[in-house]
Amino acid sequence: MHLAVLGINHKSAPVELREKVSLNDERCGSLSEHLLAEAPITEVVPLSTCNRTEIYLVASRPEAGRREALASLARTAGIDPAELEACAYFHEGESAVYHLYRVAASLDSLVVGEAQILGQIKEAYHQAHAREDTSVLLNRLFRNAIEVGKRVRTDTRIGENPVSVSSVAVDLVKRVYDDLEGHTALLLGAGKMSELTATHLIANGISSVLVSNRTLARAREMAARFDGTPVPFEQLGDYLALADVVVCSTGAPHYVIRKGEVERAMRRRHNKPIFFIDIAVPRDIDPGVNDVYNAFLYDIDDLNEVAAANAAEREKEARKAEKIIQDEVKEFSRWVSSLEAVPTITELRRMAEEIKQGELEKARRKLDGLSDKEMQRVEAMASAIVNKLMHAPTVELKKAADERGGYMYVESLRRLFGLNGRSRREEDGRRSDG
Amino acid sequence: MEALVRTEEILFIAAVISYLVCSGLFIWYLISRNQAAGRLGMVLLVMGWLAHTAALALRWQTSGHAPMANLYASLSLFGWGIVLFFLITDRFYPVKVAGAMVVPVAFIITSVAGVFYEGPQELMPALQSYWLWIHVTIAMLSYGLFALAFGAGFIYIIQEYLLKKQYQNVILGFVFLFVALGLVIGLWLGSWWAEPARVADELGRVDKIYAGEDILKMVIGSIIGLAVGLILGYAAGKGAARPSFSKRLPSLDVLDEVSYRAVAFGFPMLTIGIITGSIWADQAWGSWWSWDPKETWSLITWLYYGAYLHTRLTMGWRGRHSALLAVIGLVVVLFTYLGVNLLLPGLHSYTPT
Repeated sequence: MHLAVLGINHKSAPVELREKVSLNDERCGSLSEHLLAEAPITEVVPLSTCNRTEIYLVASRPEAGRREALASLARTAGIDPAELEACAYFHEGESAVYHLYRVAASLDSLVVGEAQILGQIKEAYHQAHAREDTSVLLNRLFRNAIEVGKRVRTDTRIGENPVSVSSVAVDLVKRVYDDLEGHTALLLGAGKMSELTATHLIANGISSVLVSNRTLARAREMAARFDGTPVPFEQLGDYLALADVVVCSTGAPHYVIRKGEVERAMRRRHNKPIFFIDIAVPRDIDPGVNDVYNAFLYDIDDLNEVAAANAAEREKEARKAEKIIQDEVKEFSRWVSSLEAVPTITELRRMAEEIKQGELEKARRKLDGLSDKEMQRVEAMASAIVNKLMHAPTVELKKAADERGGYMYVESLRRLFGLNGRSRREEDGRRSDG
Repeated sequence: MEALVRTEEILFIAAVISYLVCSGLFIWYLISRNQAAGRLGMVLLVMGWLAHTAALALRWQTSGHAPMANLYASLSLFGWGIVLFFLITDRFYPVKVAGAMVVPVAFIITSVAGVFYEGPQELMPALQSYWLWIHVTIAMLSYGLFALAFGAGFIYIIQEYLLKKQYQNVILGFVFLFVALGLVIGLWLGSWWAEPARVADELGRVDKIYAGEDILKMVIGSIIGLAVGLILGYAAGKGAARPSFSKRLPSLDVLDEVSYRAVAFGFPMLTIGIITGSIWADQAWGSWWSWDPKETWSLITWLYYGAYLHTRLTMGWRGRHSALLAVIGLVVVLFTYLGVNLLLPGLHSYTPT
């Protein structure tokens, strides 16, 4: 039984290919069903997001599993398997575990430290589990991977500092206003970035939104979208006094907000701070505005600088995460090797042998009147009992080892006979975690 | 009696040690954002403060009057107040990291109290009055609030500086700040080390005579302070240049409000302190106000914080200017409190003249 993963991601494949190979829920189901029908494959979990499509599987012969997965995926996507193969990566055993852990910890993501991937893994696993496409190995692997992902998020600061321009802007605003509730944002001009920033501000609790645009119709349209109030462009100076946060992204070739206006507004609002975010190129806001008392101005370059510094910090945290992952991979490998049938049988037999010897020793002390020949008889009987008791489980275990879910027998046997105290405790821990 | 005095000493030392450890923990919390350090610091601070409370209560018990008769007791009360107000503020505002600023201040003041340690003593007759303990206690608590305003104001200035500069070219500012602090502290420690000859003139005023050797020691102290300031300033500037650092500091509006509230509560307390003091002065000396240096400087402090509130309420000051006033305010408070006592002779000196 071998764990393996076949997949493509944003590093290995161009977006055109990723689009084609991307799987929706229905395709995931049919693909899994198809793969499980093949002899070597016993467990399957497909994982598909906008940056990756991966198939995690358990197969008795990994090479056969890889071929099957590649062929099925290519067929589902309607592309040539060779084209897919050129971009696909394949990991088996420990390195497959390592790969999933890294994905779960978002170290393999386009934006290192992003939070969505963990939810996507959970979803993919829950669906596979509901289809009963998983068994002991993938169940344990995915539950662990989700735990690892959570642990990396709590034990490192990988997701703490934002790296996208719009969330950096909101993060900075919150250093001026701890709670955005009760505050007002003024949006000037339209554009993807400023709208994204506005969305972030609203998500962080900003209470009211004023929208202004050179064309009133556009302002009305945007105001409707953000549940805000359109204000006339000509009276900007007046509304500036109401705004705690100003987001600018007009296409104007000159400054839209000048220092003098801000000074006037600042007097009218009794020096309550204003945070200016200037996303426009060329800039909308006179850089001198930053010199106005209690006015803070960040243009696109400033925001990018902060984002870059934050990204560098994430890299540092990623190295800590790597350490955590390596430990967890080792832990998982230890568990997997405990599930091998042969060592388990050896261990079971050793335990039986020890019990037999112990009991014989006791008997020998109590029955001191026995002759050597009688004693040999007793010993032979003890051996016979042990061998007969051990025979059936040994044979069954060897047989089960190659079957789907065969690990279940090994695991049950280990639990029933208390063969590995450590792994049992661990199992209890997992259970109580839910 | 002896045993109680011993216990008080031990509790006091425990409080000082816990403030020292907490200073370390809070600074570590600020640098590393290690949540456990912050929580541990808070727990330890509460425990240290309780020990401190017990020490003050014991001092009250053994001396038979409120802890205020000497510099030790009143400084101890000052430090106690700072910690109390920080703990209260922490309940209402997300300012735990400000502990990295406020707790060291409390530690320094409390340990200076330890330097002036004196056992419980009888009050001189002039000091035996009901008004006196109200006067001293309220004055000390108002000082505690001004120290809190200082801490919040100081962090405000740093946070605002970082935000205004967009985290670029900030190292120089930190180097300046730390070098200035290093020089002052180095000079101060150097003057302790120097031990100048003390000469009293005919009026009983003590003058210090600095020999060449003493001046050399003070220069060495300053140079060491400067060097340490340079290194620490560079390291701090390097650290603060990362935008993620200022995310750990409280936001500007919280800092501004904490600083303002502290003064808003401290000012009326100072007013009551001055009024009760003057009632007591009338009883003790038969005069409400005698322009003794302490009284004069108390009035200056009162006017100073009055000006802080005035600029805020009627002129719309807030932010950096107010924060700067709150920071300088503590210097005025410390001069009124210690400088007057130690440098200028008068009715309020704790050491009998």
